[in-house]
Amino acid sequence: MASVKKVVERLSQVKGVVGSILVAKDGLVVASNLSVQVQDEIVAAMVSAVGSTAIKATEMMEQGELRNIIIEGNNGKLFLTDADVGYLGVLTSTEANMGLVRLELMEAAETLKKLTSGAG
Amino acid sequence: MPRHRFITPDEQKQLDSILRELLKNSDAKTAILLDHGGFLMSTQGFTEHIDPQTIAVLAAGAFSTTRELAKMIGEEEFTVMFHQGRRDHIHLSAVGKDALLVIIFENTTTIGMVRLFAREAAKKLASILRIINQRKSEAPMGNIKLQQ
Amino acid sequence: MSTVNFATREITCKIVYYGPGLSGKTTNLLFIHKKVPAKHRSDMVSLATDGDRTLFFDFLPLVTNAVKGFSTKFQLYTVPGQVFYNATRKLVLQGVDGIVFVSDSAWNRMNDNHESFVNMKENLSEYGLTIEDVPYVLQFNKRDLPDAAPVEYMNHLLNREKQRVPHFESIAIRGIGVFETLNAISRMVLVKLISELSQNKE
Repeated sequence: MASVKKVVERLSQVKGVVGSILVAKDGLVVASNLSVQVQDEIVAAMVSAVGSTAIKATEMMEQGELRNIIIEGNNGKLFLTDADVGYLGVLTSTEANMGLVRLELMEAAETLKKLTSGAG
Repeated sequence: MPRHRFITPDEQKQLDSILRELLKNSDAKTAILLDHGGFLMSTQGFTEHIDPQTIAVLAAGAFSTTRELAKMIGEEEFTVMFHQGRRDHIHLSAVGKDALLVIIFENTTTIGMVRLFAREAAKKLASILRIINQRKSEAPMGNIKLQQ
Repeated sequence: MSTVNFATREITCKIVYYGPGLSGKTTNLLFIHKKVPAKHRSDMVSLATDGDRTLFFDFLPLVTNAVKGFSTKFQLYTVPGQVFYNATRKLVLQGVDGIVFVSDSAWNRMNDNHESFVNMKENLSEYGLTIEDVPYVLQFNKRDLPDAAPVEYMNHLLNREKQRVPHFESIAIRGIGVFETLNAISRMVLVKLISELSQNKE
């Protein structure tokens, strides 16, 4: 059986992905695989802040349930999705194939939902 | 709370296996199940150089203390406590109404991961403990005699 | 609350040493710890202040073969004696199966003895228990004091519930009366446990 940690780690191996993280909705790191330059806790705090704001925003603007969040910078992107137990996110370089990354992210989120269905 | 508690071999097996599953999923080192009085109900994982009974008693004491603190600020209780060390950490959480789960883990995993699976384990443990605590009369006690 | 585990064949009971500050509760446990062979006991845990006064509790686990086919574990606790530690004293009483009330024989401590006994009853009532529900014995400690109060007087002061209980004279610091007290309370706890269990069977 895949473990939560492995699912998060595997995401980092997707081409163009430089790091992955699973953050509980209150901002605690559940599992992460980030490069040393970015600190887990900082990313986690940002992810949970962005996630909760985005959920509220989609709700208030009557856009239905939140599916994904993409934040684009000059050096790459942060791609986030809701995996029930928390926000699952990947950091990518500029060369990443976003279609592929999105697919892998959604699949990982589904696996996580199954793995943690008894928790949360 | 009942005056006495009986744990059958089958229930003990279930409690043990929930703790083992928790350790496997969370990558934690040791899991200890105890009641609020410090009675040990199960210990799984790495126990070399540690004394689970003493840990149980101290954890129960720590939990009682924080519960009193909680009451003083108008909270019913704090359901989770976390002690952070340099290498080893302790996650202490409530299981149902009268039990506690102590999880000892290292930096190989995260507090978030431990908390995630502690919640899952707590739900399962609580449902078994409920059965144990409701038991009154069907205990097979005929063979208990005082030694002279 | 005793726990009977049929998987590990273990019975666990909790015995609390109660009494006013400096009456010798910790001294009782220290002597037991010293005399019981290591294979029948674990280390003693003391949560004490710098001044050697018990802050939260002392804890000493013992293993006996008092019950056929089971290993019987007694968990001995003391409470902090000083009046202002009542919150922790109450916590230690949670799930108690038997009590040793350790009193100080000095004349000038009689008030403290009595107050502590009343306080014990109050704290038990917080758990829905009365003194009749919990087996207990009295230990009159420090019998070697020149001004020790007569045993009759201490019984008159402390042993006046509906059910009179056994009392033991002791000099805990020299170990006198310590094991007599422990044997009596552990036996009372087990007798009560077994009788309640056989009632349940019917």
